[in-house]
Amino acid sequence: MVSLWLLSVLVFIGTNLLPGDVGRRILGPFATQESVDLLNARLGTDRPLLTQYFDYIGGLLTGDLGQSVSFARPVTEMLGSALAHSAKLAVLAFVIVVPLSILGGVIAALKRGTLIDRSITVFGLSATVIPEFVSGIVVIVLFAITLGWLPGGAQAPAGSGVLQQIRYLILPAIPLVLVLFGYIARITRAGMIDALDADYTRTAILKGLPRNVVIRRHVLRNALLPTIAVVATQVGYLFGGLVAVEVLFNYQGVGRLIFDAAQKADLPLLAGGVLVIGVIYQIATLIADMMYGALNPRVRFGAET
Amino acid sequence: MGYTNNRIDEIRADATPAESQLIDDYMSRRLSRREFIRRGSIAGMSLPVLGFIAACGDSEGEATTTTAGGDTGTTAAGGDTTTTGATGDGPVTVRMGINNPAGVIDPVLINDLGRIQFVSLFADTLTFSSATGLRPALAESWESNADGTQWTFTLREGAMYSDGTPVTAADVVATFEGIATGNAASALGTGALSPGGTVAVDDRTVQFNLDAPVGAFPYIVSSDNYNAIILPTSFWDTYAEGSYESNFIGSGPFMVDDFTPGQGATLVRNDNYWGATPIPDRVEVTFFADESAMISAFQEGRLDVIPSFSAAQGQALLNDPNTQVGVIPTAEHRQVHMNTQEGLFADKRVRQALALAINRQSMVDGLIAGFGDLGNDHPIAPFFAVFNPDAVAQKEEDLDTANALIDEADVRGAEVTLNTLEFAEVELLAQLIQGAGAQIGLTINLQIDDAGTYYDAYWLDSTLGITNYGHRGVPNVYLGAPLKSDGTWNSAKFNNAEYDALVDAFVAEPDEAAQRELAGQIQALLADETPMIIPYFVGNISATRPGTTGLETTGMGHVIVTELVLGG
Amino acid sequence: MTVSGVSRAQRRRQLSRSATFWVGATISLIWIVFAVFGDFVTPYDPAGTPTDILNRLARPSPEHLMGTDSLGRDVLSRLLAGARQVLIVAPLATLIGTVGGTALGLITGYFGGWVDEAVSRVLDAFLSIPLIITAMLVLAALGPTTVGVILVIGLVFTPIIARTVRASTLAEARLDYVTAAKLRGEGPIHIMFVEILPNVMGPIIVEFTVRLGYAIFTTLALSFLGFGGDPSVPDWGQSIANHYVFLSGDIWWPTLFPALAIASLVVGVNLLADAIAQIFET
Repeated sequence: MVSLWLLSVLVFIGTNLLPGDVGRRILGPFATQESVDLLNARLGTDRPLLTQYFDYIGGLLTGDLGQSVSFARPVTEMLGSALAHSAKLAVLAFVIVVPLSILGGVIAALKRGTLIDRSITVFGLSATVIPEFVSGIVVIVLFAITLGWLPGGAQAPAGSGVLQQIRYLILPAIPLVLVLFGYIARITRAGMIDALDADYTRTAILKGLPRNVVIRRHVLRNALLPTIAVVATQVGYLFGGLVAVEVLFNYQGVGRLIFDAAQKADLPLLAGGVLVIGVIYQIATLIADMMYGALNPRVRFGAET
Repeated sequence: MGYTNNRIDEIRADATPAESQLIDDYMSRRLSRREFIRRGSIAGMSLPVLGFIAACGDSEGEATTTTAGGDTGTTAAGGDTTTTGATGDGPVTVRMGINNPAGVIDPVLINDLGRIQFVSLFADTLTFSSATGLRPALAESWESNADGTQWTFTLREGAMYSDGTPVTAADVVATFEGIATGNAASALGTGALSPGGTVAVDDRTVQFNLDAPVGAFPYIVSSDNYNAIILPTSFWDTYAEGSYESNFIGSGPFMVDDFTPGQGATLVRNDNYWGATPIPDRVEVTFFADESAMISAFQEGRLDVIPSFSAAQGQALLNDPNTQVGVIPTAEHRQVHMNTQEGLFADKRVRQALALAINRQSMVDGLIAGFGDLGNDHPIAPFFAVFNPDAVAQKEEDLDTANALIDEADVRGAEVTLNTLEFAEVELLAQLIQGAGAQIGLTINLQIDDAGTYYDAYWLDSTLGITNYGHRGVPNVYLGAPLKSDGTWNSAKFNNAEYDALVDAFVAEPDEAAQRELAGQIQALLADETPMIIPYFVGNISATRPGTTGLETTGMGHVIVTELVLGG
Repeated sequence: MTVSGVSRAQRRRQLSRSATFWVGATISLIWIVFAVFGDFVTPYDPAGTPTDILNRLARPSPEHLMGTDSLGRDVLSRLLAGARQVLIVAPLATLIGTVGGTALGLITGYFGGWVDEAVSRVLDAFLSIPLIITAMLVLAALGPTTVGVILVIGLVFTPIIARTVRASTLAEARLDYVTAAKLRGEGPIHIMFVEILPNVMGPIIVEFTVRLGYAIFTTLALSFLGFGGDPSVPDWGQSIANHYVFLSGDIWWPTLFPALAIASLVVGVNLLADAIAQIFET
């Protein structure tokens, strides 16, 4: 709770750092000073900061994030549609990366120490650090321009069916997949190794169960639960990546919205967007913590890990 | 040149009577090459064709071709109204891509390309300032008193809004009173019309009483003032910010049927339109926040028309044989101001030196793909009727003189910062200026900020900077606030009494010939004093499918598709 | 002898056996050489001359192996010279973040109690906003200058590094030598920076190398989003930002080559960092 409040303070300070007169930014440099003053009075941006802050908090508590100054539409409405867009992209990215990285981690663990293991690990590490807009460019040049398999823009024409939309979203999802793959694969691998080395595994093998039955029934189940918890913590990296990907592929998601709002000094929209992202991140972290707690009896009982 | 003759005949065979006439005039030298290209592109002829013919006209000593005997061929032609559109029978839909409106659609707040484009489809002003001159719109005639302080406009008989209600003088009064409280006053640019100055004499006659004489007033109330769209008194009585989005009432050729902010709108023909019945039945407009997405959409066949795009980003379309690029000259320009009062450029010789160190033609060819007119360091564009072509010789790159001036002023090795904003090709222009500086021994460091920061901190407070000035129908706005000694937009801090006097006389002068004479003097003075470098004026380019005719655009962004016939 | 009992010499030997170390070091070294000597080895002047503009966006050819950009400048030359920009900004930013983070971590780890609680809460809130976004906000306020970028990245890295240093400091603060120092009457500043700091250098070095990779990543992402400095200075992120609009016209060379350069540099630096981290983690 405290974190949430602190977040709102930080967001308010951060967005009010933006210099310049909100009214002037909207009307442009050639408008008369009287018009600018009138607009500022109407928007309430000429009041002292503390007053504006209390208004802002009051609004938050009632679920009102204010009006976007450049579009005169409620911020919640604009964020809603942007979040929906980003969610589609994020879900697609997760749907691709989770099975892929779990598979990679499992194989790396089973073939521990071999070249295959090394390759997967190094690939994962390398892929994680390549900026999303870089892999995005490579992916566009390769698949959209040279091979022509997929479209280079992310936004499917209005009214497209689900399959068509997915087709447009595959290319932008790839940079996100690459960034997330490495970490999830590594955690899966570590979890698998722990489980493989665990007593209950050895017991099961000694009992005479075939190896793949052992793996399927015992090892995987125990190894995958921490992986799922980890996925929740990747939400933060995902949002960072969304900004670059949405700009490159021109997709009207929440990352793009924040970027545009910052350019236009549209404070309510900017504050609303950053706040929502922060809240989602905190919720995801909370869920991850709870899952860890539920899975790991040692943490549940408060012992030092 | 036998091949060439055959090719020209082919082209003539496919051309409309108007286009044929143009070709004839050009080949027989009744029309200059520039005029030919200009009018040809307005008529919808494609650039490659124009270029080809223009080149033939140059290389051949005399016109030896025979006419094609007036045979206009079988293609759909804009001039011949009985042929159907290229799409055949059935409702004609035009799919258009425009800039994403930068904010709520509100007549008082319009100040960006997207909103200008959108609103021009369904709302009108008193007069219309087109690429070829001023013409009546909602007002059918106008006159001024002797000294230009009172203008009387007569509204068109029977003009109606899309809901059938008539357009009255009271509406005009309500409109001008309504926008005078917003930011529109600056677009008026004269400061000469005060609240209460607009009076309805009767139902169809409006009188404007100005505080000072303004010779070009009909331009001031034209489409150039994009906030001055005439709307009903009932709208202004209940005006609130954003209320326009609930009805989009207007007297234009189309009316808004459906509108989704941030995405697009559908417009249908307005049967109550005062002008000729529009050819398209529907216009589907898509808003694009990003120009490259708009261009991709056109290439992929999802759009039929892009009324305005930039050469810098539209590279793909310029080389595409499946795209017809039209161009109209405008007065839009980039102003490279130099502080004339203090710093490196206080010495006139240094300013003149930098102006001579740039290669304007390669800037036009390289930065805007050749779609523009050369500038001569004054804002009176060749586009303007008052442009005086004989006043000053066109400056060209002259490094010897430039270097001599620098040495005379003894500033070789000086360092200075150039401030500017991110906009179109301005960043590239800044780098070219930097390169030019290097050639005359000046070190120019660049600082590029976003528009908000530039206008806040640097625009009026920098030694060297670049600002963008959008199109206007008359040069009055460019000559006043940016350059007069009491001007509020005077980034060059220009302070010249002779200049001030000339501009005052020019603005008040109602006779066009006299205006041109004064313009010539202004041109010469500015070209000599060089408070700013204006390297070129940007042409407005549009994209359509080959064979499309009837698209009209203005330098400001207005889009007229009433005569549009789709090709391809 | 360090806390973990492994000597420096042993570490160096382990390092030299690691393949990732050698690959990473080689790639990084190549780019460092270009960063330092770039101006002397480029086939053309990276700044270009005004007359080049008529040759803009030319395809790769024998004269211009990687083609030309939107002002006619040679892409290859600007590529090689561009290494300098990122290899100056990123290490400086990481250094600032490391110094700040170390100080903050030492303080919260040593004092503990409500100081630790309060600061950690604030840092948690700060870190729930993705770094790129925080950086964007601050740079929108400061203006897109190179100095601004360095400071901002340093700023957003401070909390992250502080967290790691704090954890190590907490462990150290319980050990005997710290108690002994307190008994001797040494002040907190002496204890933190003279006693504890040398013993947590291991994790700090690892953090520095890991964060360096992220600093490169973030610097380039920020210039891609438009927060670079002077556009005439060759910069990979800005090159991509200025030319990605041409991709739909099949003009791929001004963006692909800088993208590949970025990829190789970040991978190289991160392999290096990973190898070093592995060594310290044993």
